[in-house]
Amino acid sequence: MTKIIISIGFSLLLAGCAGTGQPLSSSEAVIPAEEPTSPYEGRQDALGALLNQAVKALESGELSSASSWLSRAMRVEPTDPAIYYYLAKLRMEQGNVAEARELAGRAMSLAPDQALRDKLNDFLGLSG
Amino acid sequence: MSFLFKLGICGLVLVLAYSAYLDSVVTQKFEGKKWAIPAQVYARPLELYEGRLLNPKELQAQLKRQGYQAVRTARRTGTFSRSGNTFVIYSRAFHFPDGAEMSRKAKVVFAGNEIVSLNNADGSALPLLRLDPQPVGGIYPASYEDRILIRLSQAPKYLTKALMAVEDQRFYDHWGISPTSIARAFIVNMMAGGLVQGGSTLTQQLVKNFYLTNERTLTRKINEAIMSVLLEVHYSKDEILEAYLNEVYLGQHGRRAIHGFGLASQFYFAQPLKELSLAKTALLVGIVKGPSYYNPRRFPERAMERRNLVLDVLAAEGIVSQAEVDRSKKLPSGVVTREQVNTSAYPAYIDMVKKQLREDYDEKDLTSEGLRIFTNMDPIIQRYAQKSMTETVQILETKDPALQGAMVVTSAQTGDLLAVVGDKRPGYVGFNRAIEAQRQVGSLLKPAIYLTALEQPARFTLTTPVKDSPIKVKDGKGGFWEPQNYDGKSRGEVSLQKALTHSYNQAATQTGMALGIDNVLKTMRRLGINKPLPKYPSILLGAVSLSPMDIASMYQTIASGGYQMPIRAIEAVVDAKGQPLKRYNISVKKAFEPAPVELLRNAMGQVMREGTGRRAYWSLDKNIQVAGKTGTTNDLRDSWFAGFTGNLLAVTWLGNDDNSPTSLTGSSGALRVWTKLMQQIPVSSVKSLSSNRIEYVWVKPETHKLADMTCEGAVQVPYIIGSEPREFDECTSPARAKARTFFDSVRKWFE
Repeated sequence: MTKIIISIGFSLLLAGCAGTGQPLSSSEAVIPAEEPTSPYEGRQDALGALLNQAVKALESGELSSASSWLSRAMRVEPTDPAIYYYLAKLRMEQGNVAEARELAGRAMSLAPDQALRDKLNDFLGLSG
Repeated sequence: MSFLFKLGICGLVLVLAYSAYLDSVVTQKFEGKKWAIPAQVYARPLELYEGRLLNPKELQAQLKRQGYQAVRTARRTGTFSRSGNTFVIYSRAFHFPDGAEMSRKAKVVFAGNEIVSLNNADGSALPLLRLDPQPVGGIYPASYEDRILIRLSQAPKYLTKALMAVEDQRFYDHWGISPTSIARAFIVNMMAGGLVQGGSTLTQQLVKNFYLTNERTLTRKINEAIMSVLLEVHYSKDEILEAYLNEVYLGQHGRRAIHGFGLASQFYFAQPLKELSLAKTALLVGIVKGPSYYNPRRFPERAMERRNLVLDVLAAEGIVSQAEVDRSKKLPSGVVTREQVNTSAYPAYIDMVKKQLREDYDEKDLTSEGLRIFTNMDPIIQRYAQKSMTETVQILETKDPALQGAMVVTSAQTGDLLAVVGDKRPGYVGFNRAIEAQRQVGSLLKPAIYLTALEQPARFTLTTPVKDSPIKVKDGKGGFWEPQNYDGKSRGEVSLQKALTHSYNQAATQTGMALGIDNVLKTMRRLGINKPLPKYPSILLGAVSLSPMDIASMYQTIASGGYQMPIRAIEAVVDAKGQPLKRYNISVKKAFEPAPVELLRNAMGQVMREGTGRRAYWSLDKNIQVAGKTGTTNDLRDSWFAGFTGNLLAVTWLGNDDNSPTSLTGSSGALRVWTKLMQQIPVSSVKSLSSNRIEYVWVKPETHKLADMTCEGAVQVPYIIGSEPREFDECTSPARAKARTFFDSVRKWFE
């Protein structure tokens, strides 16, 4: 009996949160499908500069060049989850869905921050 | 008369036909040698950037190895200046497989072992400086031999002049054979009553080198003479001389024949040919006459005498002034020890490159000329790996002079092969233990048992008690097998984590048998062991022979968090036009879920903190988290260690080639080599894998019960959610226990 009451309480609470959250996000969220520019633009550190090049190459469809930039980035910072995320996107572009999903999974295991985690979830959702 | 005439015609036809045959043989040989430009092999380029950990001394040494000249002010490409912690490097332009890197003048500032600032010399921003890569050898992809080819124009000033003065004074005048030289040699030899002088021209010597055997028959002599003349008809003197410089036999290094002045210069002086002094050039020219008789390492006096003779000839011929000859004669030979040579050659790594060329590329593509092979070899790590091996074995071999070793170093996350050591002697060419040694692996397979267990969270967690008691099982060969612990004691029950940490044999066998051998074997294969594994219980304790490279594949999967990946020596191969060659597809494959692998990695961290690997922290920084496992086989025949940091994985092995006992355990031998490497190069901590299936819980591991963090002996242990212990240790306060029970039940409803 207590179980039921508590679970109903929780459900209401959750519903409430969702309810208040909705209008906010809909008014703000004009999220474009593709990010227009590299989030690493102007970065002067090695990893940022390499990721910037990789993202640009990826956007302009230069896949082998993107792959080279990402391998170099991986040598600089082998456990940065963003590298694996972009590698996943690259594999997807190349039509290798299975490997893309594995790479995204690997990015997930490397403690991504919340923003990247969201991107990865989107990516895994889309590729699923 | 007509008969004789006919016979004459017949004879002429035969001679012509035979000459035509020899002609095709010799031109084919010559063309083969002339055009077989070896594939150039490069190490991984050094990348400099802010935040990079690198010892400035090491940067300076590496720049010098790549032929950068240390100068006061860097004004040309290929030079650098250093003042204290600041370097100005004028880099060389280089065409990489991914595009051209232009020449840059950059300023690099260190603080301690870290690059704290990197800019273009004009002050503008430079996020990254990629230097041209160090060439580490040449491979003929068809035959897989190595050679350093030179052009005639690259030869040092006196080399060809000295060669001609000593070996063939009339080289530019004769037609391949020189009757006057033969006559002179004949007379000299008659007078001396033995073979003192040869009458062979350089062309004849070159032809002789085309043959593999060294028989001295008249037919052979005649054939050589005809072929020499034919060569002269087809090719210019300079072409023949260039082929000679690259072909002549100049020494032996184990199985490897030293052909050509380019390689010989490295072999004897560890220097590029074009940098050789007059004295050194004369020594090489002297060796031509008899590379084993005048071997400067075995018979230094003989070789020196010969060198001085060559120098005298140069003075007598007026090629060099008497004063310079006198000065050169006073110089030591300059021949370096084998060890010194070999630090600049990396045969063990090159072996792996050749192996992967065969496996991953189409043979057809490899026959094209002018290939460039870009490898993952890290020249700095390769040097430290060899040094750690050589120095540690030097200490240990006082008790065991035949002791040998091998090591494989990879990038923990990507599987890039960074270094290979195949022998305790640097640069030794021959038996490459990293690939070829097949040795019993002992406890190195235990992680596979416990990973199999940890994949079943309902049955096993890190603190689950496992039996450490005597066990007798059928050995699968008609008898019984009763493994003992290393110290002969059985502990009854221990936590799974402790069983691995202290490498208890009985606990491993008990656990492995409970899981089923088939399941453990399956895990070993998923970890990346492709060799056949015998289905006997003794495999649980590593009764199977594997190479250090096999073990590296297995541990790579653990180090990368459960991803099986090939260990890659080759980054790319490009053809003469810069186009990358197609490579058979190799991919990374997820073999395990991150959660159980994380638990295993955690336990392997405990091995290093308090178990059989703790010796590593005698010299490593305690703040660096590392993980690994020792391996010791019966009667101490093999000493193994496999372990990783956040960025590097290394497998080390020590033992005797004849498989006789050493006095070493994994901890007292192989681990020392591993630690020595890791303490000399920048390493990062192993990072925990993040998984939403894992939570850290305060427990008392010995009792496998929940505890308060204030309880004595309580630690945080990772569990796959839902598998943590339910019971509370008696030290836990009742209120907390109750609260926890409540939250647990709340959470359960939502699962």
